[in-house]
Amino acid sequence: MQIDLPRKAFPLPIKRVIFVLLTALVLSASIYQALRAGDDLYLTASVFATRFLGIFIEAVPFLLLGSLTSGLIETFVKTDDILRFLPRSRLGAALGGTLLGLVFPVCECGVVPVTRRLFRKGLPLSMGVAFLLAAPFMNPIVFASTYIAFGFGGVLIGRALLTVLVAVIVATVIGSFADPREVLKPTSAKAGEEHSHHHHPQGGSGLGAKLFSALQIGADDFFEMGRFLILGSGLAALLQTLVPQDSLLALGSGPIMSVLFMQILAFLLSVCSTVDSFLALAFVNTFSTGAIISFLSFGPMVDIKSTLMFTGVFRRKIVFYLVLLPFVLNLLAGVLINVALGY
Amino acid sequence: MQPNLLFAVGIVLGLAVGVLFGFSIGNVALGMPVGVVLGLLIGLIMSKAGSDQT
Repeated sequence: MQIDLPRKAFPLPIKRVIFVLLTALVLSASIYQALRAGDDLYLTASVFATRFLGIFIEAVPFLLLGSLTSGLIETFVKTDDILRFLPRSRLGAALGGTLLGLVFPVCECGVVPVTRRLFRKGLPLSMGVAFLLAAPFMNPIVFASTYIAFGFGGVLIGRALLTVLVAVIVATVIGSFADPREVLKPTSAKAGEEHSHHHHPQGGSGLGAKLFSALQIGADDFFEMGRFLILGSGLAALLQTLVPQDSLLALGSGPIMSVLFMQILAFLLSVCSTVDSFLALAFVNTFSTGAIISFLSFGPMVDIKSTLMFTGVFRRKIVFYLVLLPFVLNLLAGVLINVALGY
Repeated sequence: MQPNLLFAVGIVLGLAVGVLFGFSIGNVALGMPVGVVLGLLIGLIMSKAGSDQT
């Protein structure tokens, strides 16, 4: 006799099982790595804690600023204002998106809540993606830090050109081939005009009430994005503790491998775009110019913590392309620069 | 998990990270307040995430 059991009698949360298994795998690998290397587990844990703190504390103020900007946009910028100034073509929108960073000076942590808010206000996909990728570099602070570290020359110009080029290409590709409804999570897609933010009652139209509303929205955004920042910082710190950078350094020679190494390093280190120039400066005598420029261009676009934060805005399939496309394009550009300079 | 439990887990995690950080810099007295602040922040974020899902 066959018994039909209701489907919910044995719920199998596949995603949770996979997540738990992966977490267990990573934790076991880290413990095994620590024991095998003869390291003191306590020392490894201390290194992990210090690295986690370094990444997290560096990123939190910028996430806070980005969240506050997001709240101010929601409260003070009208959808019509954005739609009025939009370029008509996809390429124009992508180019415009790269320049938006000059209006909203944010690094790679703050850019995510701002982009999500702009998407909700009706910003086109290509413009939003270009802004997301380019804004962490296209702002006065990062220009200044790159200038102070490298001076006005090949690295600064190369970084700017490569950032704009990669952001425009990726934004145009995603904007052309993807439907915004399939790309964005429901919380990021454009809200209805009549209840663009129904769970945040305005409470009044005065400046004080609006500012209070902006603070409430900013706080919500901060806590919502904060969870991805914690996960991303933890993962980045774990990988930095596990992956021996010395052995990677030994592999990182040659016109291709040097670029590859610097991009992987940028992804793992998850250094804020406002200070990464000074870090790159330490590698100038070790790595090729192409590798340095790729590091400076790719790092602000994609790293572990920002990838985790992307998952709060985009669906996973698009997050994959948002990582892969900049990686491949920056790699290609870095190798071409190396070849052109006769490395 | 319940938001309150997540808050407690966050506090413990933050405190642990802070204390380990204190050990690594050789100043546990500094690591503990850092851990408390970090724990509050992580606890709040995690409990908010938990309450959003329930």
